[in-house]
Amino acid sequence: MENQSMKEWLQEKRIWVPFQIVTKIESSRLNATSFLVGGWKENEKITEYTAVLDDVQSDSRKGDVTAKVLFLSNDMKLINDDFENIDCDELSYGPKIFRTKNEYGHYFIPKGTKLLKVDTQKDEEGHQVLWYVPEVLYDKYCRDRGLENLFTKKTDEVEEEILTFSDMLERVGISKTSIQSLFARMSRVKGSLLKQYEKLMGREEEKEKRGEEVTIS
Amino acid sequence: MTVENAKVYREVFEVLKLFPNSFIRKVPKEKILYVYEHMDHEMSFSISKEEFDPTCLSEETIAILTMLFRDYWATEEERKALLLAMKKNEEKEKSKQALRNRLCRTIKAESVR
Repeated sequence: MENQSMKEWLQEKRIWVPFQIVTKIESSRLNATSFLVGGWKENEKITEYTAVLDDVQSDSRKGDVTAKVLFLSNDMKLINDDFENIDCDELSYGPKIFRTKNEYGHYFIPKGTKLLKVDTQKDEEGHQVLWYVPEVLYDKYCRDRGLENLFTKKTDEVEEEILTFSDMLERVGISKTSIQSLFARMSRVKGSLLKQYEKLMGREEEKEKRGEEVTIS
Repeated sequence: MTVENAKVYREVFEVLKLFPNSFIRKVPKEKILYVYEHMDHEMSFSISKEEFDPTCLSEETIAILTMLFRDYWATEEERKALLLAMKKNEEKEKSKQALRNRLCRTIKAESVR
């Protein structure tokens, strides 16, 4: 088990529950008070850990948010010590990942893991609930949501070739008339409508505001 | 999020499914995921390459595709051409609107007399 690769480990597990971080946003500074870590759903039982974020620091310029995490098991016992004996795995498809098991044999994601925000909701008490997934599990998260067609590599695809957008459309079998019609419609898009969706989905210049990520340090 | 937006995102998602991964990967995953998380999952709707007809897509869908094209897919030349065409069309639309307004004012003035 100890020599098991991350990929094998992922395959062995059945359902993955994303992480949930409950936060209160105060004066645009992330002030996380509690941190729920969703684990793997094993035998219909979701293993959850509660953790308290300590020493939260945010770099407003970069938007980085870092915090020390004190992990508590379900019986509220401090289990941070478990992180000291971490097992490292060099992944062929991603950065170095640390994985470990607690005293009950449950896996959890330890410090050093970069988390990517995937959703924002509000809970019943009005707290902002941010959903994060560890960066290395992002692809799996997307695949679990039926996005595999968008993120998995098709073997028949010529990756290295540089295609223009219209070449690409033609290559996938879209008629020239349709391509011309698409370009004609794109050139008539109203600036106001474009701005509206830029606001909703984020502008390129603002993309990857590092506030979207949290690193457990 | 409005219901209308949910439908728009679904339309965008279906269009993106037609594109090869090499193009999809140029778009930050957060954006693709945003579309996915906000789209209408109940709506029965799909587009095939053969049926792909931009004239049937909503204006909002075209706006999102334009944004993605401008920011991630277009070459520098294509981007410039698009921005120029958009500017020209917007100016044309503005002068048309000005003409319409002037016409309205003239008709109003005539009817008062």
